[in-house]
Amino acid sequence: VKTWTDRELLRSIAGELSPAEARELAAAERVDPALAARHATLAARWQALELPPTVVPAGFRATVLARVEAERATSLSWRAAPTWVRAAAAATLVLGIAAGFGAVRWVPTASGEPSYSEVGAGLAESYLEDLGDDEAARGGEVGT
Amino acid sequence: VGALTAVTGLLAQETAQDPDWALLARSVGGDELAFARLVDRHQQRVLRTCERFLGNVAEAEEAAQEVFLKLFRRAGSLEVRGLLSTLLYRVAVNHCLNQLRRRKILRFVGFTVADEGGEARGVPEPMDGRPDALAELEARARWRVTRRAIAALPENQRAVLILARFEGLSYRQIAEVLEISLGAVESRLFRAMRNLEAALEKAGFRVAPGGGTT
Repeated sequence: VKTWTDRELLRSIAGELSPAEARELAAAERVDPALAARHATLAARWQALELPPTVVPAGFRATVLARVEAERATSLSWRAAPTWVRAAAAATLVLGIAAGFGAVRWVPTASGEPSYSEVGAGLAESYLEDLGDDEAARGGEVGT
Repeated sequence: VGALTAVTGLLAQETAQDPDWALLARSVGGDELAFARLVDRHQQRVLRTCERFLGNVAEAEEAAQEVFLKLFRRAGSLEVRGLLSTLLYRVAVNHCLNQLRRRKILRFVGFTVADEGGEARGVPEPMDGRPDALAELEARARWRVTRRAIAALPENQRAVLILARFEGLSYRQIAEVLEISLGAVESRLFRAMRNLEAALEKAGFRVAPGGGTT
């Protein structure tokens, strides 16, 4: 006789059981009231997870399209800029980041607490992950 | 090998039948109306997903805009595979998870950040058509408890629960969005429900098998 675990009951609630498995579960519940009760409790928990309906605010689409248009315009203006301007901007950005990291490494913190550089590194890591997502999604693959 | 072939075949079929890829291709060609149509078709689900993750309406709106911007930026280089909605879910989930991580760091360094799991400040919650005030109050209490319980879940469990319970995705779709195995979807959802049960019990919410709450 098959033992039905919570995991399988959850598969049933989420609509993941095959028709044959669903029939098997129904038959098992007819002879096992405790199983039927557990299934009902889990299903009620699932249904009780309720959140307010989402309302798309008026103007949402217009805002997105305006931002897209702004991005397109910026992108075009950068492409039109001379190469030396783009290279100088990139170099300034890299130097700025390097100087920022150098500065936070020397800021003292109380012992036992994470240093500012660790916090900064965490923040940088978060942004880099975001960039990584961007890269991965370009290939249709985004890690979690 | 057979299962992999079946999944690959299914993805190819989905890709061929999904009109969103054609709209995206037209957007890349400069057709603004095509992109507007894409936003129309997906704004509800993207915004809803962000709201479920972030627990804050204003922050979710900003996040949803970012998701569409990311789609626009990558539109020319995306691999056309499966449903575009799957990709959008993936971008939304990753964006929200990053947002939550940033929020933790900001909280650590002492900045005020958006409230998670509480009431959305400054933005009135929409009514859902309940005619009676008591039912409305009860619903709001349930929403609050659910938000808090979801906010307390580990990120990976939260993602699976939101996609399964609130987006109605199948285990296979969730596995595609999160790029994890079906077994991982099943076990994360199971652990999420176990944690939620404990959290709701702790909050004094008892659920009757008939569906009512006390």
